[in-house]
Amino acid sequence: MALVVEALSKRFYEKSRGEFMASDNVSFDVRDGEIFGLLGPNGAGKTTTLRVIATILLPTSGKAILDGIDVFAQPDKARIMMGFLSSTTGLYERLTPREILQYFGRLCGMGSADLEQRIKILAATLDFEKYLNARCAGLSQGTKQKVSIARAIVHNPKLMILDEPSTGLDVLATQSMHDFIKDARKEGKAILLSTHSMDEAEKLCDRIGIINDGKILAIGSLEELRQKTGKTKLEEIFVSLVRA
Amino acid sequence: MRLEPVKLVFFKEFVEAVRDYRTVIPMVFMSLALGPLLVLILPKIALIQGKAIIMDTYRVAQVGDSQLVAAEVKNAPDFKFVDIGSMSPQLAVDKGLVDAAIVIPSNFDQSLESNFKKVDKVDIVYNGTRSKSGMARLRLSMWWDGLNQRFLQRRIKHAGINIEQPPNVAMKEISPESPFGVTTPFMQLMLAAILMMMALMGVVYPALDAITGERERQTLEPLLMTHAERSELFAGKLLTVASTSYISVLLTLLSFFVCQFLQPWIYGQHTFLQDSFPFKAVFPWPCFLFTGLAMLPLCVTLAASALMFSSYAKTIQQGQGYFLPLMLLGLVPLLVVLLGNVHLNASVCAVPFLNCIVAFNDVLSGYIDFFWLIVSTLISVAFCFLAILLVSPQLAREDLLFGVTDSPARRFAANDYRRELLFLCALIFLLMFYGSQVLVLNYHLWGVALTQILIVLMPALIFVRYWLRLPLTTVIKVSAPRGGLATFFSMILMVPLTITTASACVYLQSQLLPGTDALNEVMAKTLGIGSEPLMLLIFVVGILPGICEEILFRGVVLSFLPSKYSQTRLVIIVGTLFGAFHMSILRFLPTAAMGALLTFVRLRCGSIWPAMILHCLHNSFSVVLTRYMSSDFSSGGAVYFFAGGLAIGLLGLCLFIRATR
Repeated sequence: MALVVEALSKRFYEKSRGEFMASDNVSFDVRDGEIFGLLGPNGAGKTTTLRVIATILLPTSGKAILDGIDVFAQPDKARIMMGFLSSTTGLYERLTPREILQYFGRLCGMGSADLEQRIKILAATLDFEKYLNARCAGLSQGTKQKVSIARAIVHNPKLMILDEPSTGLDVLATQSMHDFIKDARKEGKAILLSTHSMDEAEKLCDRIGIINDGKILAIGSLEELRQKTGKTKLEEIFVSLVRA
Repeated sequence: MRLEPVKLVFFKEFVEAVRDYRTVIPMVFMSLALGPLLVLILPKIALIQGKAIIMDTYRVAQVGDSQLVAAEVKNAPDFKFVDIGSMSPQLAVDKGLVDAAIVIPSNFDQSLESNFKKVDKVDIVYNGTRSKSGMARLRLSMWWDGLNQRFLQRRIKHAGINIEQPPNVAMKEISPESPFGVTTPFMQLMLAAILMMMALMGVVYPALDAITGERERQTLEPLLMTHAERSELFAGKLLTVASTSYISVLLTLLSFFVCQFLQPWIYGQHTFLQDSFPFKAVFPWPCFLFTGLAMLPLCVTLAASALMFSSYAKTIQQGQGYFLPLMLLGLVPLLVVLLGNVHLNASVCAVPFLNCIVAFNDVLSGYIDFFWLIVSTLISVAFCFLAILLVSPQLAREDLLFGVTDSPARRFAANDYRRELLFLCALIFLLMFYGSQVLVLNYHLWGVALTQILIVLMPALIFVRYWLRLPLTTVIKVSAPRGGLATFFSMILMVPLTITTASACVYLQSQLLPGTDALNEVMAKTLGIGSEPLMLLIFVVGILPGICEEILFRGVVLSFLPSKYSQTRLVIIVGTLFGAFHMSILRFLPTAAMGALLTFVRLRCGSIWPAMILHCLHNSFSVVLTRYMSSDFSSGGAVYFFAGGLAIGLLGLCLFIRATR
């Protein structure tokens, strides 16, 4: 078991809404060589849950264990083992993708030779080789997203946390992104991704956690969810769970 | 802190900065343009302007009949006398027919001829809103002074008295030969102001971009996910911002240095190069070198301050608002330094920021004290380390990154009123700075009473009762103290301890820092310690601050700091705030120590009364001692005074600790 999340909660406060739980008692696990998807509508608490696991936000309560390490007690150790792609992340517009990857790779403690090799592989797999030396300001949305992913996992982490990885990508780019994620699974990585697209969840995820209003409504493979709800299509499963 | 990540962040930030025209234009082009502009072009404009002023003739009307004045008028080449007929001089000046008019009283000539008769005044009419008219008035009055001198000599001659002319004054300027220092004071003033401006300009945009920009563009989140520590990220950014500022300063210095050689070449051996013309640029290379070195601590300090400001901003727009105080922070000490003839000494060295400005201004004026220069540099380095330690955790603040915050109700339940307290402290400090000084200077002793009631007590009470709507008695802790009567008795015994400690602080300070004695004298004089009735003094300086300041600091401020803080932390925070509240570097140490002790007393016994009594007694006894005792501690009696005071005081402290156990 790579990552185990137990009763994770995060409380938010907004002037207009008052207090509410953005993540409410969320528990799930992600195994090695598995793609686990958090599926939910906008504002369901996917990003908050992922941010808390990635140690960017402090949890209100709960626990996360990554390969025996308590993520919240030892965030420095946990960060070495995970790569996090946030859905809202930006790039340094005045730097080139190569410079960005070098910067993050070196900050993650990689040596020059390993880093160059890794950049080459990532650029080839994610298909942005020809833009490696162009400033990010001029890149398309899709290429920027690919560079963001490469930046998140440049240090080759064991756990990849991807928050809506195919946002803003066209069909071809989405396909190559999916291939990339599947390849990572083959390498034995644990992948935790969030999405609001039923299609993506159906195509990619080995197991799915359906989340709404900060709460996990159901967890299981597509087959298990079908049996649980008696519906066949993921869309129908989702609607029946949310309405219930 | 590891060096490798700091280096990485520095290089990346620097590359980003030099690829941004908003940084490069002020850093390189503006810096390089300033030298030629101020050393080569500005003197030319000034010369042309000066020449115009010298060559200008002024249209002047003479009103009133005087043969004597009319005869002198013919020999005055600066003025063109215009006949305005019967028009009133006011109207002629107002309509612009003449620049000024000279109104001669009737019978002027006759009065002047009769030796001992008083002559009526001569009026000069001019229009203050027109610069040329103002200039005409100046020239006319100077001309009239010369004329008066001649009239006086005529009278003396007429009276048949033979008086020798008193000697005229001859000016002789000496310029000490120094390898340091810019020769003309004007050039020094200008260079100091420009270097300060460039250092400030060099930090503003890069600092905003490095932290607030990252936050706004959402690139800070992945950066915080790397293995670099917050302090390493902050230190790398600090180095970049300091570098851009320092490059601006060095290029400005360089352009000034080079232009001094071009000045004689462009102007030829013009007369002003030999005279002490204010624009004469003489900038010896040791001065250039040392100014360059002395500017380094300033750039680093400015960078640390700028990053501090930008760390608290969510957006660049918000950050720009925060930079206004930084600008003021930079420009106010500069004005003080430039106009106040301040040099590096023990007290100036201790104030970060001010010490850097004084240091480089000293070098520019050729006054270098190497010892204090080194101490000042070390203090700047310490300030930057402190900034790194204190501010780097702000990078990951959830409320600034994502707007995630706890509700006020929950914060209040955890006794965390820090935000509200920050507002109250800012308000009281501003009121103290602007209001209290005015009140005390104008109304002396009554000013102190008004300060205590209007600035200290009222805001605290309004804050608790009407803003947070909390019960006053609970916040101020008016319950009976732990230890009962023994606690109150120990407070009386502790008074000698506080008095001797405060006196020792003041004495030590007066040996190290200049101005302590002068400050005490000014305070005693302003408050009328020696002249006002004693009971009134004890009430206003002793009892009133004891009550009001305790309600504010040991009551409101202490109660609103998070209860999770340790006792030591609370004692240090409230003590420091209490010291700073007195608005004087010279009073900081004794008042902060007193504040810390009072906080300790209040925390230990759980009630405000003992602290209030100790404060009232301390202040009242200080007043009595200042009134009736000599402040000369070098006499033999002082040793017994200190030793006795300490012994009784420590006994009181022991009793207090025992009673509240």
